[in-house]
Amino acid sequence: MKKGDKAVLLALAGLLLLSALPRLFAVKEEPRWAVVYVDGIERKRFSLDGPLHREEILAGEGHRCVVTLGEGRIRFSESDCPDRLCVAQGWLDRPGQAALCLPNRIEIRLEGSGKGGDAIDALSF
Amino acid sequence: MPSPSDSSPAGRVLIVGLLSGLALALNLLEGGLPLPAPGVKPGLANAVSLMALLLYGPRIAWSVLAVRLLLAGLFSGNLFAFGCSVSGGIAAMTVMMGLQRLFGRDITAWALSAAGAVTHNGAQLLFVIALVGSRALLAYLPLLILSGLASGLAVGFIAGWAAKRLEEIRGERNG
Repeated sequence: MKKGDKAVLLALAGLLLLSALPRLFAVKEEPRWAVVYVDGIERKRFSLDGPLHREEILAGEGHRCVVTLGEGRIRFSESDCPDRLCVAQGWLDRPGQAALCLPNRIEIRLEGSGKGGDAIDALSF
Repeated sequence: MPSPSDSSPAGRVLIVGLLSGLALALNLLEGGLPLPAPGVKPGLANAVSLMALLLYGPRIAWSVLAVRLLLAGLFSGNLFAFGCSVSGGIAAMTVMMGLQRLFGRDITAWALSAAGAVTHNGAQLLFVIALVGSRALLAYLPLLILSGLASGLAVGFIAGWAAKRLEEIRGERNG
């Protein structure tokens, strides 16, 4: 291994560790709220305490996504976007986690019971 | 493959055309693969950027990158995907070029590639975060760094091997 190779590997390993720090030290907390943002603006706020059920989210230009939520978790389950990467992101069950449907500009984010509730925001910047 | 000493304008056009075509083909091929998670992908087209950098230097590499980004953007017609690949592609090329200049012969293709892939993923995530204005997506960073590392190493080995082989062929023909 050459000098530059070592430097690159070291830098990348450090970067990985640094980026994972908030997650390693995150307080285990039950998510209480799922917040839905459309175009970056808060649109709806669901409690996650109830049984699993589906909710429809409407975005601009007639686009829609369907989320399934309850029992402390949430996921995108349907979307009319072309790539459906949002559905592929699966379940979210920890505060601070987020999933995004970029074409439809819909984001879901989990908040805990604490004030502000976003462990990632509080720890990383 | 034409030799790097062939600095005539026609020679350069030929090289950029060949490599751009290769990068676009790999891009399209990759588009057909199922992805395990958003942003996690092999980044095969970066192998061509890297080969261009190793064999012909920054000028040709930037040209190949520009042609690929523009045409891939036109092919897909997806403005979000275009923004993602432009931010990722430019950042990755800048880092790979900088490392090559910094370390010269003291760095191997796979290290350049891994650094480029991780930069690509990071820049792409920053672009998405800037677009939606949500820092919560930073939680994806560890996954994207890890996948960039893995795919960057793999792609770097392939590109390094191919570049070496091409230089050997050139040597046999010229010598």
